[in-house]
Amino acid sequence: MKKQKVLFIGWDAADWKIINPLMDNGLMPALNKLVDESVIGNISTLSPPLSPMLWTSIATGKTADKHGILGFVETDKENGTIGPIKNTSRKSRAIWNILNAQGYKCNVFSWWPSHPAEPINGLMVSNFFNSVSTNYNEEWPVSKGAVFPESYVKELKELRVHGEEITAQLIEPFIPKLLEMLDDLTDDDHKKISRIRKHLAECVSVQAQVTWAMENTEWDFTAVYFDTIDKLCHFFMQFAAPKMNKVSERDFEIYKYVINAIYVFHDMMLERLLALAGEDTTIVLVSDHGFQSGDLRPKSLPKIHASIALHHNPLGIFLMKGKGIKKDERIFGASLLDITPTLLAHLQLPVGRDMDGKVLAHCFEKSQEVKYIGSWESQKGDFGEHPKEYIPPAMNENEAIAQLAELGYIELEENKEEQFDKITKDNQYHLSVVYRTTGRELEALSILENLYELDKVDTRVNLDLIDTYIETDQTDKARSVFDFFKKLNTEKLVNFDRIEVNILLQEGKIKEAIQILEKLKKDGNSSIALLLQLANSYRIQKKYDEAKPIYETILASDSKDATALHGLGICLLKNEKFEEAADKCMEAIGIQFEMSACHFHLGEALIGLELYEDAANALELTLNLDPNTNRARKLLIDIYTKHLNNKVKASIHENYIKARKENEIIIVSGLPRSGTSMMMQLLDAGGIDVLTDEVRDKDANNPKGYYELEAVKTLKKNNGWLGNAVGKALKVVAPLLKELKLAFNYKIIFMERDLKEILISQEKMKLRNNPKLKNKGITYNLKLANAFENELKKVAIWEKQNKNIEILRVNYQTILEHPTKEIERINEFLNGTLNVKEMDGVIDRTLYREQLQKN
Amino acid sequence: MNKPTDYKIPIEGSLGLLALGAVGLKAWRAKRVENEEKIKKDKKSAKKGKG
Repeated sequence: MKKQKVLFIGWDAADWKIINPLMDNGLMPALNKLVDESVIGNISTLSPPLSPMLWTSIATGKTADKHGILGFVETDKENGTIGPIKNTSRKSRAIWNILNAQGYKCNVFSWWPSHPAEPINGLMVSNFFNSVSTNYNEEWPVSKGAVFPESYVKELKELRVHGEEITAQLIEPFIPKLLEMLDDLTDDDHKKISRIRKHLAECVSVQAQVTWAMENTEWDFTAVYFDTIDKLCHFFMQFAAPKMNKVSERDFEIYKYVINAIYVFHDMMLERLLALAGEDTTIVLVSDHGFQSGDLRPKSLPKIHASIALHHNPLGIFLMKGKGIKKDERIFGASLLDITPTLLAHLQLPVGRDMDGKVLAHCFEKSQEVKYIGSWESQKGDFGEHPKEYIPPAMNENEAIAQLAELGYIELEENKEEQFDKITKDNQYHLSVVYRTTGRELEALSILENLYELDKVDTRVNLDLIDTYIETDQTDKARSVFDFFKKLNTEKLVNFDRIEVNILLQEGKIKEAIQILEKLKKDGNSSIALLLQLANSYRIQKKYDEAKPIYETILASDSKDATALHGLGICLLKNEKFEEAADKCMEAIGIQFEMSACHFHLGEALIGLELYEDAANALELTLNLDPNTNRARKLLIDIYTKHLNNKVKASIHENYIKARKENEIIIVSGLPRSGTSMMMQLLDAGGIDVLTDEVRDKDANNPKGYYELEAVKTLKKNNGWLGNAVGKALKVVAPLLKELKLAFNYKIIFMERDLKEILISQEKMKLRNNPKLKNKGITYNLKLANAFENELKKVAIWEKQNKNIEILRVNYQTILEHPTKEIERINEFLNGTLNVKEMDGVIDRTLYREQLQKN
Repeated sequence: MNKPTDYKIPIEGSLGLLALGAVGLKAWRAKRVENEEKIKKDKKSAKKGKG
């Protein structure tokens, strides 16, 4: 069967904020035309924003802890070597591997990291193929493993362009005055021009190779990555208009066109690629992040690790065009992780349930059922991968590392040993950032604590460790690290007040936090960030009258601060000044469209103004940005039913809620011996279908049965069976909750019981199971108590991070004492689906012997 | 912008030509070779003329 062709283009750091005015002025006509035929939007980057990690997340749909690419460079512990990151470290299959196994002919060019080229059924040219290390007239060697199959090397190496081939006339669009000032160039000018020549040469090399392959090979999928926008932005964005204070008039006049010129050149290349791809090919154009321009450019960078990433705008570009894909439409809420799942769905291929991204269903003209498989990693077939025993060929790694250092991506240390340690620590730090930013703070903490032990002076580790302790409610530890760090950091490179305020807020000492912020404000030392903290603190306390003037102060110095506008809008809304509230929310949205909560508050303000049609639009947009905003859905049902008489639209939202329910699994959870079996028994009596295999028999410890399912124990390895649990109740102990597949919605009844009671109950259970232990008596295991406390904290963090779960906490003691009332509460949580009469008789207090007061 | 033959190929190259990719690059390099050969030939003829 003929495959749907796909052309997947990566433009590192491309940003709509720069593209839009260029398109408006007719300078990017190819992209402008493409936009009209495509669905487009912003795309959120990931943290840390390092290209090899991001482009691998794009190609795998997975976060870096899963795909294993943790930075620009890597260490090999076995032989003590350092080298640029290679794809042999990637632990997940990329989109081209998956397509390879489905019979697609794939061509891949210059992707980060694609060295050594993988043995795919097509052509792969690695990201080191075009690196230049020799003078123009010397032999330019080809790194071993840079091209697969090697038979293409002969043709492709002739399509590499050396920087010295780039003539002054080719540079002219970047520096229009170049030809007239050739005699006046300084050494610094020559360095800057060399940089443009080098990066432009690499860019046209990739274009030459990909266009050659598109014309001369059979292909179904072409992926090509260009990094020139990013590279030139890092050096030349400072020279773009408006002139920055730190830039001289002369340099501004000479270099102000570089950024626009490279975008225009990318448009010219795009036109050619589109022409070669043909009308029927699906086009995807993506950047991994944007790049700050105009007034948002940082004036200086702090002296901390990888600070050059502060130039990045967290929103990149996304565009998709093809058969069955919407035209001239915008999409919201896309992430880099969504590209591979969306492409797979578009190609009617199953999406791995272990992928972290979602299918961007709004891209498609018709709603389509997405097929899923547990994981592509366990599938058999020809995935075009390096064999397991494969050893990457040697390459000139020092040169590659020197190049990365020159670009500012890594810092060079004095000796190899120090460099080795630094890279190992950097990559561990990157992994901790991945964990922190994906709701796994405790995993992040274990790495950060290790790094802290190795180096107590490392600023980034100190800052992250303090913040993560705050996030995990360990304020005592946060304060202890903070106090030590404060003594060390005499240069005051860090804003200690911000940290102090964060700790106080977490400690619930809002008044004290406000006092500090007020003092800073009074002394004139308050930054916008601190003022925002102050205003938000008041708002959390519902002190809207105190918060309002602070938001206004912020806006007096920066009228385009979207967060302050939104905050002010909320204050006005709460004071029932609906018209002003709507105005402020609309202003905020105009600046930062993706703020779903702001659309929601606009909707609320418009309801207050009885402008129901407009309110419905605002609330619909809220749901486009964040489909899990249930409060918006409920308001919409209300508006459509009561005010707009639009039963069809109301039913869409009612059906969504119903469909969610159809995709819902009831989970009973808690620590072992917290009453989970009792709760399962209650649900069973209440008419809920409970999923149990009865492998574990009832015994003296649980005379009415355990209500367990063996498969739950191996959830981590295999959760593909969870689909069978939809609409049923399942017992999952607390430590395994995080293994639940987030493709489903979960209503979790979480049993809480005094930790001492749990531990004693567990000890007694051990004694009953093993009479030999009888002489030992019952002991209170402090270590276990700590571990349990830790598990409960993990659940609380997991709950906060995931929107597809709802948790009802049921106290064991309370349900024993007030069963009727608690059963009612459970029934309400499960939408009144229970037969409460049948449940009432289930609780048998005599079974629960371990209550401390009865022992 | 599909064929390099649509262009008058400047010896110094042009971004339009390079944006075409392989065909543009090859055409530019061919033009440079052709130009070098022409220069050599002209030099030879000039020498002959002098001789």
